[in-house]
Amino acid sequence: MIDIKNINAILKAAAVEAIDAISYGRSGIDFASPSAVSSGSAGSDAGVVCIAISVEVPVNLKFSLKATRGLMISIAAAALETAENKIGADEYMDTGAEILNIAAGTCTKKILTGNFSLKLGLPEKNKDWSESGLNILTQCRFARDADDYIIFTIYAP
Amino acid sequence: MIKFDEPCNVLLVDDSSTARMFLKKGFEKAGFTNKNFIMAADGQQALDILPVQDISLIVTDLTMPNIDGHELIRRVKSVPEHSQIPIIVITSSNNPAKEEELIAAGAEVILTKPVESEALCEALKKVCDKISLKNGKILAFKDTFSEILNSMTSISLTESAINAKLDYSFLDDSRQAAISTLNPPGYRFVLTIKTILLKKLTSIICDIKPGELTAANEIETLSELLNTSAGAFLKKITPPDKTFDFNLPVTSDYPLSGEGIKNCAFKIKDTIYVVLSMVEPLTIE
Repeated sequence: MIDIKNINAILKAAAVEAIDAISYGRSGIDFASPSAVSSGSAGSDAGVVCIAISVEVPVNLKFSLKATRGLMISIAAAALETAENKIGADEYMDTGAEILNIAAGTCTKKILTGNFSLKLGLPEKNKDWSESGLNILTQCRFARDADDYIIFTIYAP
Repeated sequence: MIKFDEPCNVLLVDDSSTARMFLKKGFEKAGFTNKNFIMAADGQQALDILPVQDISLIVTDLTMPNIDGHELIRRVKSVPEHSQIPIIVITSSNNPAKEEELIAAGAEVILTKPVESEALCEALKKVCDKISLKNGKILAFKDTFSEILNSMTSISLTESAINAKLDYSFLDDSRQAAISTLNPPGYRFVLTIKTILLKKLTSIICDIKPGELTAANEIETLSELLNTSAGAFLKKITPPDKTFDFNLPVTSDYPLSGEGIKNCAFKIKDTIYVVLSMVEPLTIE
């Protein structure tokens, strides 16, 4: 059973925990005020990073992370404790994949009730479930400033 | 062998460089700044590193491309030289059945991402405790042998290493004796000593000048040291109402390390001169 009532709050908490853990609390994101997903997120994908992951059992939930490249570079630099100009695509995609991996695992454990086993697939870089025509179950968006944001989405099984 | 507060090589295996860095930082944050962290991006890379680096602990992600964490455990545990290396598994999943499989395959601890430094510290403590428990008998045998050697020769071998990786080349200029138990059945004790040291010990124990020693004197000394140590050790671990019996000691050329063999190598100035090995019965009476 999926805890639909609390799913958004659980996703937000899992996302915050994952970003904070990986970036050692230095992402620069204002977690206190998550913003509406519609505010400047869905438009052009230029400069946007997409990563997807599947939860293979017991339900086929699919998670995605979509973030502006600038924000992902900042988070990767914090995670790897290096300068932003030393971060390339491999590093920020890798960091995004690890954040999504942690967030998806934490979130799924909390939104499913009862005894269950879950298995996460490998994160898929440059993949966006929205292009697969799946329906969105819930999503949350956090912004660092007017330009940079990160969105976590769960797609319905 | 890993010790909680001593320097050693730790192999971190994860396809994510961020995750590897996160683990390294986690260990360092927990105070393990004296460990040397070696990185591998998947199971295959880890398997390539093992023969060329002296690895004391493997921390591996479960889900990885090519060779995943589970397969890595299976392969590491199937190689006698590496089978003693403890393995901690990190996973984002929640699968009790899978975790049981991993433990059965040889994983020591399973941790869930994101792994905090406190959890790493606890896991490492648990691994060290488990190893210490597993090595309890060889440690006791080592202590017994040291006491016997000291009482017979006044020589103290203070530097030792448990479960050292050793190969047959050590036997080239050494002599070895083995003794097995009749009751309780299944123990085998092996003592291997470099000839140069054995001659010195024989000279002291038999009170014979070095130039007058024979091979028979050396074998007699080796057998006596082994017999006395194994007897004293079994006396320590056998309940007072139980008896124990040995076969006669024999000269041998058993391997010194490998699956099911616990060993303790005694060093003098970085050179191994004495190796005690022990095989325990599967079911201890």
